[in-house]
Amino acid sequence: MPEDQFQILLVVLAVVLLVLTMSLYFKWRSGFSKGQHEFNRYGEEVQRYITLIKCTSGDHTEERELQEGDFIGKVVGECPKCKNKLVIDTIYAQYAHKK
Amino acid sequence: MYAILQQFGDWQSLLSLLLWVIFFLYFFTDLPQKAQLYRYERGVATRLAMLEGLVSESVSKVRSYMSRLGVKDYDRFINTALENYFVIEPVSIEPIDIIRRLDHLITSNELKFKQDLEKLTPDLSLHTRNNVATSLAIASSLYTVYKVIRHYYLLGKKYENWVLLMQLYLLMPQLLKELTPYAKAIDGMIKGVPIGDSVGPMVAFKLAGIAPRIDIEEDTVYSEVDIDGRKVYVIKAKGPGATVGRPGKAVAKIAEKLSYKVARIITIDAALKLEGERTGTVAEGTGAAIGDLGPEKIEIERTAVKCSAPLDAIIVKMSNDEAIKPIKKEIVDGVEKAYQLVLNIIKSKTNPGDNVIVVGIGNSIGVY
Repeated sequence: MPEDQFQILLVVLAVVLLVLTMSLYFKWRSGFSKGQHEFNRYGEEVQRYITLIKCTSGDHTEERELQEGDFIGKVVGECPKCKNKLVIDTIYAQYAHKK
Repeated sequence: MYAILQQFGDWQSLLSLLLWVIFFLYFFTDLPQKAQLYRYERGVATRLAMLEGLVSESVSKVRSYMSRLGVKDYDRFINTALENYFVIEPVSIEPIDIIRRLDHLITSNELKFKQDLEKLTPDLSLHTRNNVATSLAIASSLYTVYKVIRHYYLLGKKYENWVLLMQLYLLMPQLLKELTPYAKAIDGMIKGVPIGDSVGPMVAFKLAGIAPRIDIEEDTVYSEVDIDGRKVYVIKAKGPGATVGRPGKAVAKIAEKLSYKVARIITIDAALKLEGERTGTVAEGTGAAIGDLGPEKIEIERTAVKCSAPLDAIIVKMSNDEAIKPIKKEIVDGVEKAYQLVLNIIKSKTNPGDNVIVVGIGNSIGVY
């Protein structure tokens, strides 16, 4: 191999090595903050809790935010239509996905 | 610098020498392994710190909850609960009576914990006390995992065992992903809202409605309802506190009460979905859908055999973290489907006048 070509090859190799080292270094450094990023990304956050109330005869349904002391099966009042018991039928959480 | 350059001729020669040095260091020394070990060690340390943060977060949530409830001397109790209350597995090389021995050990441990908690919180209602106990159990599980990971991390560091550190490094992201919901689940426990694992009791509620709950076993109740002429005994953990009760023993007692004249036993529980499966999918199979260590499941199986009754299993699928987090809409939709499936089984596979036992397995938090 002529001396000129060998020198060019050496320079190219050096540049590649430098770029590789730099990229690995930055990737490694970002690993520390990446941990925190993963921590935030995991899972979803509860946005709000919904309480679904139904009349025992099934002719009335209403929805509201969860109130302290709510549980499924709790009698919360009278049906405005048939005067039967209004019972909490379901409670669930609405989630917001983290980006 | 110029002298050095002169010594080596020109900059190309210096570069060539540098490449040779790098080549030598890379192939004939342990430097790359050392660098890798350092990288693994740092990675594990970072994530271990995050795990420690999760433990602190969950413990402080329990602490503030107990403080809000007016519990005195809760700090000492929390510290004790984090370290103690472990169960040593019974001898398994002699299998005779292993289920009874295991059941005895689990029951004794639970009783010890409950008695200690009761002493500390005599004024709290049973349901609130159950919520405290479950929140504490979650914090304790997180702490145990943290301790084990820390043990292996320190071992790996101490002996420069890069294989151990590498395994931890690869495992930690998944582990953190699975453990983060545990810390978040405590919020749900404190609020007293149903979690994913509450699907069984929720289906039981749909069947029994607000019919009276009759105590049958510790933390376990049943209701009698009539569905198209069938007498249905709906068993669930006693809500609305966080407890799973003893459904197996309750099934055995009710079957005994009915002189083993039971046409069908139906169990409903949450089940882990496989990756790719949709949350809230309902599936029907055969067997006892219950995920305990064995004592409760075997009771249901033995009772089904004694009654010669088919044993149906209905599962609502969800991921591990969805099972402990406040219940989401997709799972609530699954509850409705499971309820319709139970009704269909009762109406199509039993006859009017039959006795049917339906067991809603799972945590009864937020469900009457």
